[in-house]
Amino acid sequence: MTQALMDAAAIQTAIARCRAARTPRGSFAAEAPLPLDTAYGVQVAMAREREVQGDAIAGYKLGLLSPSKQRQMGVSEPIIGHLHRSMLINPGEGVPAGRFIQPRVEPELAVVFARDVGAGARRGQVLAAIDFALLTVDVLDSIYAGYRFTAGDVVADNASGGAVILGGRPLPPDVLLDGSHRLRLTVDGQAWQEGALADLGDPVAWVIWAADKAVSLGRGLRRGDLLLLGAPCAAVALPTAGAVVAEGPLGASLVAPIQ
Amino acid sequence: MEVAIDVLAGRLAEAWETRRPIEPLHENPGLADVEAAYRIQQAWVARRLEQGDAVVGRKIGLTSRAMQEQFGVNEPDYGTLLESLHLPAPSGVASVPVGRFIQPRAEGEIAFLLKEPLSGPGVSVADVFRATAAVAAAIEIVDSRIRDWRIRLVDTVADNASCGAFAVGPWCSRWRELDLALAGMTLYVNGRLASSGTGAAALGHPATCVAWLANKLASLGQRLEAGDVVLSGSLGPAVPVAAGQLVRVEVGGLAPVAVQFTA
Repeated sequence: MTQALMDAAAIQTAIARCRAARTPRGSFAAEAPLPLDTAYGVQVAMAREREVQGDAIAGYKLGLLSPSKQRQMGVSEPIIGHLHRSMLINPGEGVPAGRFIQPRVEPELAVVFARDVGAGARRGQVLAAIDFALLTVDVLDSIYAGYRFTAGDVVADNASGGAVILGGRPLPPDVLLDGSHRLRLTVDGQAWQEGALADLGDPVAWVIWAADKAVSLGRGLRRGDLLLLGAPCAAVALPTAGAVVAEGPLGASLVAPIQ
Repeated sequence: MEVAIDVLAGRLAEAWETRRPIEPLHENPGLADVEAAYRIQQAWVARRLEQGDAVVGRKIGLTSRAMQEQFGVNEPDYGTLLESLHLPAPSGVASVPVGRFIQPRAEGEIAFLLKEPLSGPGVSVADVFRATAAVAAAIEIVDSRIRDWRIRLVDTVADNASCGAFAVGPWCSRWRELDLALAGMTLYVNGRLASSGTGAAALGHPATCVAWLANKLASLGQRLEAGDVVLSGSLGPAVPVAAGQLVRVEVGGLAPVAVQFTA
């Protein structure tokens, strides 16, 4: 017991050091087993510390939604990470590429909640609780060199959360119900990735899962929270100049300059 | 050197009453920092409230890159919208004697009506979207109590961000169908196009301006309130106006608003 707690604290310190120095490192799990419970303990402790420093929790992000990614990582459920207010980039604000270690970007739909969603919510309750959906770009920033990590590693590292670029137009919640909607990402006018929402499975089921998980992590999904619902395509490295462009349902688009 | 906040607020108040402009405040020693300028604005607002006026919202200024470069700043400023500055616009048309102003100019903007408070720090556009009840096309009549608009940042901040009056068109509650960054704004003077732009002219998105304001107010221990009207920033160049002119502003997807300037 004491041993596990000490491990968690050591991991937390090591992650904080990597972030501060903007230097990647190798997998913790390669040195000693890192169970998911321990990893979530590290993640929650780091989120609390940020909160205490005045950077409030703004919501959550989901990862590893597809069964194939889960198999690849040896897990049977998605992973969740914390979003903080300082991570949110408003329309028109630049993406501060120099703030990250090895940033990658991927397009995602997010939802914003008009009321709290507790554990064990039903589909109807979830849909009624969503105020609007929003096209976003998730800026991943793993501390693990080359994004080589285990599920425990990535959970401890807050699901590789770097920043979130917010779209400028609230979308009706029912965009979640049409799997034919596509998300597309273009970086610097060149590399692009694209996928259909259907590739993510059932978004409402993921919100229910996220609500349960957020409660188990000691906070719960709250009114005003932003929840990122995962990317239907692969992530692209963020260049140091140019622009990130995303397109989504109902003609929604997002353009962010890289600084 | 301590700046006499109340003295300078008094000078601005007198310029309002007499419609006689005053010399730039930045020529006063010690008025170098913007915080002192905001204190002057607050003192001026406090005088108005003592006289029975009421705060109905805020305006955001210096939201375009061009204006920020002109003033050598990298963030907007804000002023206080008072009931006495509001020009009612029944059926979308307001009327005001031009003699009420010193050197008026008209700007086309998007106004936000809040249904919930917005309290920084860390407010994002997602919070702004959630807290917004409706948006509308708006005309802000900017005016300066400083002679010949010879203003620097501290002058306009102290002078309530150069607000003169404002008119708001019919509120649109179905605004979520619009991308406000892409909404086009056209401003006509007597039917002739005089100024134009898009929502993106204001810091990239009008809601980004509102988020900025909520966070700025938080640093001063204040917040935006439910029911507040927020003018989110000019979307095109300001246009000088004169008696006999009808200024009409259209914003794509919203009902138009007009102000008739009378003699």
